[in-house]
Amino acid sequence: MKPAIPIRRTEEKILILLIILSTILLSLPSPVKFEFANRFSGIVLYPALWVTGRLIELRLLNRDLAELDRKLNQVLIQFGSERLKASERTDEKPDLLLAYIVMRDPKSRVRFFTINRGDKEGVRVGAPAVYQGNLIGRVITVSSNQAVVATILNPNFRVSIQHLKSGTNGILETTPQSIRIKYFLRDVPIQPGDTIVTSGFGSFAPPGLLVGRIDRVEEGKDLFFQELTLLPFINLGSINHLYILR
Amino acid sequence: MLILPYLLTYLLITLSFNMGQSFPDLILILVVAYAMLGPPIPALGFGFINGLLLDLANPVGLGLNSLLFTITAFLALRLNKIFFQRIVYQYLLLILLFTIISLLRADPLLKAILTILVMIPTIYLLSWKLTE
Repeated sequence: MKPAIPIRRTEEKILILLIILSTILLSLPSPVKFEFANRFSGIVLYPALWVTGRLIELRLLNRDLAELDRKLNQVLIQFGSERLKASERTDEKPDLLLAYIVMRDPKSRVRFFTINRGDKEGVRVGAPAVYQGNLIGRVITVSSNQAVVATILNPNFRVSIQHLKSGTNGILETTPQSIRIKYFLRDVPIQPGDTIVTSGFGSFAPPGLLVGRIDRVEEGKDLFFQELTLLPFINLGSINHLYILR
Repeated sequence: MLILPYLLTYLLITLSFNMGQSFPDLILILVVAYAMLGPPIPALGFGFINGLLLDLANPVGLGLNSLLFTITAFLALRLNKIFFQRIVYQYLLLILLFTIISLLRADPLLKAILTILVMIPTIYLLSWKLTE
């Protein structure tokens, strides 16, 4: 008969001890296991559980905030639309789709936004992009999972607008240097700081979306029209999400 | 030096609580790395305690992770020669062994694959570092 191989090394002794300990734990009945885990996990895993709890809390808060933000945007668009046509009040809520800006154009960072929504979510070419009741731009290309929005700071961006005080219409056109308003009649009184909204006439954007405030008013050379320059309300460089109006 | 791996464990446990199943088993990799780099006896204890911490988070199989992690740590200690010699087929066998350990822990296949994908370069880099 061969003699039993002696366990010489300390590692092996410790290994056997730990294996026995693990096996004892493994063979415990389920209620005892739960009791054991309940008693010790709160103490031993406290840092990990605390961080996880805070993260879950933040995630829930973030979800609630996103929902509130969506509702606020809906109300602002509804309000803007009703401001222009007070007689035609409607309870119909605009269909908004939250989209995050995943990429910006490398040069200016404010002229084109790539968003994380596309054809699959119902984004269409020409759909207006809005944020807190302001017009941000329009969708120019769509693929299945993303889309590109040309903002109001992009040269050649055009939209029909209205002076909120007087109700006079004009055309907004962006140039590389500034946002200009064309075809705005000379005899209409207009001051720097006046609000400009979308008119909704023959345009992709619904009426009443905020576009910006008048920055400069110039007489110009034209016999009939004034030369106006506009500044947007929203800092396009700072937003990280927007809504697509479907 | 002894506290640092435990701090790392807490960090990885927090990560694993929040990252779901599409996350490699970094704690298993940490146990193997510690067994390769650290002193042998604390390495065994490290494997056992790491497994126990995971068991406490999921008490249904209390003892299973501590058993498997202790064995993993011991295997990594014993097979250090293979790491040094870097014999390819033995090396691959070792990876296969760790995959089986990962699957024994009832991890989904995706997690086991991700673990292996991280484990291969880690072990290789560690063995290279040790032979320097």
